[in-house]
Amino acid sequence: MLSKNLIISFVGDMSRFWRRYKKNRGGVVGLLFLAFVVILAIAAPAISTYDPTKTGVGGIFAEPSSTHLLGTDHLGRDIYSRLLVGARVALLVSFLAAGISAVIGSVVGAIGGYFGGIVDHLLSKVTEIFQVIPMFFLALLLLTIFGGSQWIVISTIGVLGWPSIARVTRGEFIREREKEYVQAAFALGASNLDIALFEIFLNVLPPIIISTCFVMSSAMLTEAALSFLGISDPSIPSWGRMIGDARLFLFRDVWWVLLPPALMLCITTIGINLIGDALNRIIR
Amino acid sequence: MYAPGLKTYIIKRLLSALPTILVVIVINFALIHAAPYDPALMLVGEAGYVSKEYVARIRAEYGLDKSLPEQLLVYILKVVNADFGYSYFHGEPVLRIIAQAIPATLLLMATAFTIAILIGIVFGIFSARKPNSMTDILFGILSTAGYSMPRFLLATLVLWMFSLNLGWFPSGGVRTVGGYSGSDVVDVLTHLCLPALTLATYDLALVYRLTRTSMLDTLAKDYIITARSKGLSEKTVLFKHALRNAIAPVVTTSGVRFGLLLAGAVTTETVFNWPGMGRLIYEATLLGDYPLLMGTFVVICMTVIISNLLVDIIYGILDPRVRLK
Repeated sequence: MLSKNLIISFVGDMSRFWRRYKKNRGGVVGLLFLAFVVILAIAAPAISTYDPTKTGVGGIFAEPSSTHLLGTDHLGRDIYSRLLVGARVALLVSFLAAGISAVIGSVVGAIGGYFGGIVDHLLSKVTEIFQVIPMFFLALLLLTIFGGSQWIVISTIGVLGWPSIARVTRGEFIREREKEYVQAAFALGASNLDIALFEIFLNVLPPIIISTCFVMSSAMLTEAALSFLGISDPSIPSWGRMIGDARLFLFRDVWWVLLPPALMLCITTIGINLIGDALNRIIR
Repeated sequence: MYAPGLKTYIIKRLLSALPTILVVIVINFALIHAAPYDPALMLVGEAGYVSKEYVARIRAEYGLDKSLPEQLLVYILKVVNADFGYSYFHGEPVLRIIAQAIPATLLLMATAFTIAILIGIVFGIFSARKPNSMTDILFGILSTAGYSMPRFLLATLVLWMFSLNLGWFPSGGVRTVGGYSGSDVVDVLTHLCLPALTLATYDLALVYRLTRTSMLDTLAKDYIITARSKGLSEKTVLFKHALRNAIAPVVTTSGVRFGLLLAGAVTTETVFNWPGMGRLIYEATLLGDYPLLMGTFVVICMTVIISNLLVDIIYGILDPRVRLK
């Protein structure tokens, strides 16, 4: 009975939310962009024409044609197929890395904001310190030392991306802590964990999701930049790496090597940022 | 002239930066020991053949046979004394290599920073004057593209378009190789154009958005309505009354961004072959030149910390209320 009511109120909330969201033109465009990339990523195995990592499936720098829709690169790999798998790489890295950041950030922020006092003071200081240290550069350092396998890339970006989420979560927890429903839960004898998790956390989820959204797009850009510089695993067809490869052959005027991954990367990050902006505007 | 407490405020801010500096040094130290190599090798770099005597000397210098806390102390003292070790690849102390790269990077960063702030603020005011007009919407779209587009991609596209295809600008470096017929300043400026614009784009979009939002907030305030109803000209209202109050958040954010520009310079300098710290870092990652990498890490973090401090202090002077916090 209770769960049925919960579902009904949730559906109601969502449809009200959607009515407001679709009025935001940028947000709708962003959603379309991202949906396009997600569909490509899901359909990749079905619609790709060659093994994306196999070299020499066509000539070297073959122009776009019916056999190679977007041509081939300097090792004779099919660009169209690499592009599709690249969508998977970009989404996988940004989802997982942002997920790691969200977990660390919301736990740190929630503990600090909920308990306050010396604990909060310490955690805020740590958060501040990690916000000052340039994340991209620390990632560069870590990956140069430990090697750039995909899991190391994901966990490094994830572990370094939490401070902004922690700050948002902390602020929300401080604001909610004093509200009546929390006081009521206290009076009813609920435990700290129950209050923090089920009362406050569920209420402050929207701003946390929004800041995670921005962390996602920056995680995607960080991975792309690292791959561009050649620091990640060379066997993984990341868009950043494809652009990095293209850079080395810019003088040969082979536009089909450069422009497709460039366009895909732009569509994806613009899409995520537009969604973040729209969500931001709605909850404010 | 200053409210009392400015000195205390500055000292307090300086002290609060110390833990950050310490953490940066400790991160470096932890990396040396967590790395899958011998710590001595981390302090030498993956230099292929290195004489046993040299490694032994490094080992003694950093006290690698002592306990970890002692090693940490030795390391902290070294960094505090600006001794970042020696780069085997360059055959020079790390500090000297970095010092040689700083002028080029500073020129690039300062130019990009100025472009971002000036154009960002001007466009921000322009947009805020007529919100939702065609130009405002156009600027909005451009700024979204500007802060979504990764620097390395913009750099590559700009180089491909304006240098290789159209031939309007040189393709890299600071000066024309083999001499330039005109003046040196013109030569450097033409080389500076593309990398500076590339580096500036993200922050330009950011400053634009901040200025626009902040101006819109300010323009809705009562005192602006009063100023307008007094019959003051639009120019006076915008620049004398509104901008002065709207600029504060822009100043704070852009100061913080200045330090972070350095990290963004890595890809820009690499693409445009600009001989600054960014390219140095890139080359160090390729070579596995760990002493140089860790040295640049400290220097970059210090730059960010110092520029944050300066912003805080300037803010404390502009708005005495901040000092009470």
